[in-house]
Amino acid sequence: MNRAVPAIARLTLREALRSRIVISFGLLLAAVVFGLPALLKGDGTPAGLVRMTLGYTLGTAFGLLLLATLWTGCALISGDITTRTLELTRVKPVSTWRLWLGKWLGLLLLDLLFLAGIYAATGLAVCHQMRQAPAATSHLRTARQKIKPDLPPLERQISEVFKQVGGDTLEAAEQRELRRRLRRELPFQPAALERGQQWSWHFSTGTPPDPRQPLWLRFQFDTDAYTRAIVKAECRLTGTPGGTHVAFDLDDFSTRRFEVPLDAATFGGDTRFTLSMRHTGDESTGPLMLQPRQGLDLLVPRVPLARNMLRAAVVQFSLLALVAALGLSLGALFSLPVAAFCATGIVLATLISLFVAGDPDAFADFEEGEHGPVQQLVTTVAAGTTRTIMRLTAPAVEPAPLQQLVAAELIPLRELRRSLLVNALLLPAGCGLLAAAALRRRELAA
Amino acid sequence: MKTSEPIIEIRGLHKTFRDFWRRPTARAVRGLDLTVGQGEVFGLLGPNGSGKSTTIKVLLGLLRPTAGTIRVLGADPRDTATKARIGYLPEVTCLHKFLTPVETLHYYAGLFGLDGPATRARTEALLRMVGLGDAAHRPVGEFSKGMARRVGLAQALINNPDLLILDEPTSGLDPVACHEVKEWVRRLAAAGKTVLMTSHLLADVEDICDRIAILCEGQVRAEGRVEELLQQPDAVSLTLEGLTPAQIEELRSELSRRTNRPVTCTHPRISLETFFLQVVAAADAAGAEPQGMPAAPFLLGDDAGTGAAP
Repeated sequence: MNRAVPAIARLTLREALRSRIVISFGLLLAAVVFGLPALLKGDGTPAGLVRMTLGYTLGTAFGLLLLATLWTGCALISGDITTRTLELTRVKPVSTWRLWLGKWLGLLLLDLLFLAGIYAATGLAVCHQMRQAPAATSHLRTARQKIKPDLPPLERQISEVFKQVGGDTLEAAEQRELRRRLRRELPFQPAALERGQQWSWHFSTGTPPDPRQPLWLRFQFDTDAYTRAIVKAECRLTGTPGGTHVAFDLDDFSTRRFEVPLDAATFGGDTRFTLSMRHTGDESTGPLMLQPRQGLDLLVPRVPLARNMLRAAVVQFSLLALVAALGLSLGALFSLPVAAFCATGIVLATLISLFVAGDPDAFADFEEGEHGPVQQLVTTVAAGTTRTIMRLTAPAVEPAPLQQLVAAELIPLRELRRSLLVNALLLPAGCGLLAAAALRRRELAA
Repeated sequence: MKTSEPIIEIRGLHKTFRDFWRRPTARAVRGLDLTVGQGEVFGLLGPNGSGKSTTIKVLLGLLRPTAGTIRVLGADPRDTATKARIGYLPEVTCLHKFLTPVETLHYYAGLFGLDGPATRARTEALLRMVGLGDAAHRPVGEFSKGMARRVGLAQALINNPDLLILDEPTSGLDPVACHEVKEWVRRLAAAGKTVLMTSHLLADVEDICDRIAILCEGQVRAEGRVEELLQQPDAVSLTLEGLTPAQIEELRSELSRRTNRPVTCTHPRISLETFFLQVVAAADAAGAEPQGMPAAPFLLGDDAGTGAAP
């Protein structure tokens, strides 16, 4: 590699490590990662405390680091332009993309230092908490691979429902609208299991589960969160082709979410499983509502918590790489106040669109209601803008490593690879090319 | 060493600054033609706002010309290969305040792609040359303007440049350092390097420049060799030593009578700089710290181990 890039990266890192603001920020992060675990009381259970420590500490520290990276990125090149130090660098034989790359790598090195510190301190805190109650937290020591039931592809299901409701007889525009609605709603539409009826699902784990650790089944019933309908069902998980099985009951009125541990040793080296569930409630209970695409998982323990934390750190680091690239590029295009304003605006727009994305029907009521032309136009523009932001930012914000970490779910390697490729490579490369072109065009010391 | 091969060639340069709406706000350079040959020390003079710094920044590729052609070292000034052969000292020394002089020079050496041994050797030689050996590990932010200027000079020379562009090189320096800078410039020119400099200190320009151009309102108003521009062909001065007042008066009367013109006799003066340097040299001889530093050998081609940057 050209020597200029490491030289610029070293300079960036050195500048940060000698800055009082960065040192103060480091102290703030230290206060968060050491202070929060000491302050948290948890939900009364040792496992809850561990989950809260992971979620709150890493979430708070990462949020702070994300914003700091964004604003520091904005300040790096625009600051060099303001102090005229960039003038001296630009007259040296360094192309603008190398200049940008050096700054980006320097900022990433700084992020890596902070992120390593955050994860190391949180890991130590969690280890300490787990040592206090080893039995109650043992299920959190291993991250579990989430396996969905084998279901027909969504597109086939859409086609089937489309035919069932007579979509073929509709006008072309209505057909398009129907398909759009089905695509939006079907993944969240629960099926109803009436009393006495039975459902079956098949799971493929790929590799056999570790017989020394329990298998988990997770159910998320779509009953009303406030009325808490009673869940009463007989279940049986059968391994194939051995045919050995484990039976268990779901019987609770206080929750709609169940995580049931099952002895994996029962199934030997089976990799295919069948789950059957029969509604055994009495006449007073309603149907069981369950959407298998969203609310049913077989959880297979795979890797230790430390390795899963490492994967979460890699996903978060990728996001920091993207944010650093965004900040640097805005700093190359605009002065610091404008760049920081734009960067903060982008983050806010993403957060708002994420919030809206959490509710698939967010615009449905507006779009389907009767409104005046102005209100209709405003709604259409708002919906279009939000959906565009959602689509644009989806690659960056879709991974949710902390939620997976807290739920002791394995962060899949494909998610890791995708995050590294998209967030740490492709999108930053795009930002870098844009910034390099802008810097080449920009006149310095005018 | 001086040849006619042009190192800098500017033809019909125009530079107009524009505002956000692309409306012209200032015409800094208007039709400038300039040629600087290899090994020349060329002075660009002019009052504030005459277009000197703008011309330099166009030469360095920091600004784009509105019109005209510019060739530096036979190529476009924006080429990285061209930039590798240029050393630049800006008018205001804008260094990273948190770096020490050693770190500063290592950073700029890295930008030129110098390897570790060459970087260390050149850094040591340059810091010795600019007299900052004792302050090599202090942050530049703590330095006085003159000390920062010395670091700026050192960074301009780290790549052993073929073309040195100095914008007000002696600004902020004490007379001893000014004298040293002028001495380095002379020696670098003697070693075949080309120097383009601007300065408001006309005595400095007169001392070291082979040719000068005077800019006013973005145009060259006078250009040529210094001795040709400053010479008064119709006046002669004689310098005689050891004459008594009576002999002086006798000579004056005789010359006046023979030429039929008024003759003025005065005692010649040494320049204040020369007097200052004599006082400092006397102090050095009396045991004070010696001030003058030799130019780094690699700049003069005396050190094969620290050759030109790749």
